[in-house]
Amino acid sequence: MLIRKILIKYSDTNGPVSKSYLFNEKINLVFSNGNNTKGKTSLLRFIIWGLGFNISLTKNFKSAYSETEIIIEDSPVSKVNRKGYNVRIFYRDASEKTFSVFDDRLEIEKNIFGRVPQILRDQIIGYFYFDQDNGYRPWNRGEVIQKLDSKSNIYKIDIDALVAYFSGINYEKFLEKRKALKKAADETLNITKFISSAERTSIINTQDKKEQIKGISDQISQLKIELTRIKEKKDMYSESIKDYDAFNSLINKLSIKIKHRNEIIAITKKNVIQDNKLEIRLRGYKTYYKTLEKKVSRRIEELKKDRLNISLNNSGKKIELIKSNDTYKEMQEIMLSTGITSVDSEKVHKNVVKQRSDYQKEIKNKIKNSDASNNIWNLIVKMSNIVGLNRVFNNEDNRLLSNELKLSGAKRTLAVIIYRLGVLYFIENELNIKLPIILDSPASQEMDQENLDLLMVMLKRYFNNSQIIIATNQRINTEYIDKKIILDKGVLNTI
Amino acid sequence: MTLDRNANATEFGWQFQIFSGIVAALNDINNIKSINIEGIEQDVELEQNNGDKILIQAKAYTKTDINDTSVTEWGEKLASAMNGLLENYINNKRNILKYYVNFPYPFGVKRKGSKSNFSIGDYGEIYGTELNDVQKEIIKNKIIGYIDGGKSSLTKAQLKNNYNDFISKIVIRNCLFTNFRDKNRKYEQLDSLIRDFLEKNKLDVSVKRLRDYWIANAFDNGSYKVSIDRNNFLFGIIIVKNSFSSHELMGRRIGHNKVVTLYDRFRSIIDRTFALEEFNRMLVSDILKLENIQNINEYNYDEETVPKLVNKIYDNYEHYFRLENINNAEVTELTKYSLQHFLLEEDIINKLLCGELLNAD
Repeated sequence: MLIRKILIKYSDTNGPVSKSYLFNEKINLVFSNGNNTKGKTSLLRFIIWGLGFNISLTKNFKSAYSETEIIIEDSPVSKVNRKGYNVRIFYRDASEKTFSVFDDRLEIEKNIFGRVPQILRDQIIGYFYFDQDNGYRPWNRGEVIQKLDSKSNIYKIDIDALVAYFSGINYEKFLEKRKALKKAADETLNITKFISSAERTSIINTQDKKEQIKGISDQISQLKIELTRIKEKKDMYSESIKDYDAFNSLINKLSIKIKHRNEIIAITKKNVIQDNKLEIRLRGYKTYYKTLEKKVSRRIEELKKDRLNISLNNSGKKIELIKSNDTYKEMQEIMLSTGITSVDSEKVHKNVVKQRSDYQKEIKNKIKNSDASNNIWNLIVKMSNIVGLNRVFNNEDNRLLSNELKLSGAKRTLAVIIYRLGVLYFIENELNIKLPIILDSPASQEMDQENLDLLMVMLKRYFNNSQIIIATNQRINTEYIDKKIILDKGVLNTI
Repeated sequence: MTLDRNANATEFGWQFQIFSGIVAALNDINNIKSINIEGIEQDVELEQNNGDKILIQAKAYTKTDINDTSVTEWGEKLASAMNGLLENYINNKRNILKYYVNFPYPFGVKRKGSKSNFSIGDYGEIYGTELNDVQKEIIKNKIIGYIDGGKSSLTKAQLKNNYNDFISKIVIRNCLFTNFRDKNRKYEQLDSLIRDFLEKNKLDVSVKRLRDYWIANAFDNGSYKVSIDRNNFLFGIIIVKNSFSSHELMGRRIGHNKVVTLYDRFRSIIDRTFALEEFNRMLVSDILKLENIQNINEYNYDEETVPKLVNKIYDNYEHYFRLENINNAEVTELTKYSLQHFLLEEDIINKLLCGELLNAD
């Protein structure tokens, strides 16, 4: 495809103006003699706009007042006429079709880039058109055209989808399945949360608490009976000790004497027949029961505290909230009655999450290891050698799908251009097409003349048969330029 | 104290003091009057019959990875223990001074010579006179470090004047007592000591139940200052012997229903009867007469002759055991069982409280 001519008509309250521009099939320089804001970007935007892409024009031009006619060569389409938001496409066979840029975006793209498969149509613009600012930022994923109004479409490049297409991987199916798994993961997570909240509510529910309190109360009653018995025994031994002591002191006091044969014997504690270890025994048992009494009493107090704690928790605010919302509670109960536990559901959730990540890894690996990925990368490496980026891009480390491009300034701009043009070169070869390369002000991105010259050398080498339209203020060695379009009064000569 | 986790440092320290008290008591059972945990002068104090004391510094390592590399605080523990004991010694030179530790190298790592006379598995005591020169030097340096660090009330002159005598008086015991969760594992060494003691004195009592009783009941009065006299300590043996399991009564296992209906009544009637002076006096008279002895302290329980003795006297005692709703045969059986049980207890009490006992080791 080749853009031969563009006629721009603009008709606002100041009356109609029009201007046309002719383009060479090689390298065209749009130049404004070192001055900015003279209409370079406006002209390039008119071209893209005029091809039917749903983008806005620069701020001085409103789509509603604009009309373009683009004459195209080397394509089944001979002319594209855009007026406001309608696009008329004229074919070489003299037929024509009319479209709306909002409703028929994909249809328009299909007609203009006939051989480009649908999955790539939305991103193809990112490889041949470099928008003034946004165009140089993303290198393999993301928005490539600055969106200046709300009606415009978002144009994104996506290297994964692109490589997938050329590797025979059904990327749309992948996206669909990934989406479905994500949905399943979200849903199982939510249901897990719901069940576990229902379970918690159920644990602290009043009925269970009553049971718990009843259990503790029963234990307390049993221990109280035991305690009574222990006390009885302790008292019994205490009484016996008292009796024992009383008996012995009485013997002392009474000084009883008995006559045995001819002998008078004084009755004392020592010669009365009794168990002289009884005291030790009585005191031993008493001490034992006293210790037991303390232990059992302590246990009863502990249980009473437990019981109090449980009954206090019972009147927690959380329960009240749930109580006031009966349908929610009912739902929780229904959920629990199914017998599915949060553990079950969490298991399912984890399984889905794993499935999703495994699947994603599998596809990403397929994409990464594909021939297309390697071929594109090799092209990029070759091109980068010309512009002196061989340290950044090399054959050992295929960074085609890498998320990060750790570069800044002119090097970054250069790397982005090389990367995307490398992809374009691959696409053009694979699909046997040719697209014009449109670069808007690469030099505004800290590129100096030296870098720009390197870029030109690369373009000459790899895109010798391509039409290139480059807008810049930077002086470019004239040997690279085939046609110069000078803009110093604005795109419509109105400044 | 819970069973399902390792004790925290305070609990374990307390358990080790009780452990030390029991060990020391069983090793000197005839000389001691009382056992005090957290005593006035030391962690564990045993009062002797002559009024002097056995003073024990009990130092425990709480973690379970006891070995010579893990126990790095041996030095601090040795210093504090020896300084404390030396202070005691200068105060009263008649006391016996002991250092009980639960890690195998009281003098630090192997190279210092600890291994030669302290090794795992031996629970015997090492006397100060048996220590080698390196070990004696370590003790001395530790005390000097304590004095220099301002942690001691002693002076270097006091240390110099008393050191040799002090060393000859001290006793060091390496106790196998690790903070395991499992009680049987934790108290393995104490159990074997108790078993020795019971076997030597021909006492047939469950070792584990006695150990649990001593640890949980004898020394647990809810506060951490505990003293127990010898009689009460030994009476634990009678309590354990006497506490029927609820499935055993009269020497045989009985079913659940019978336990519910009779056990409690039997237990309380037996307890009440044993507490009666009248019952005791009558039984002691019968024993003196039939066994032909002068003093009840001389009574020896003999499994073969006991049934004969009981058969001769039981009908005079049946009225103590006559309960409602049990038949005459059961009353007789209960009476005979109780008398036999009483005689056995009398015998054990005689052994424990009246005669000489053999030490555990």
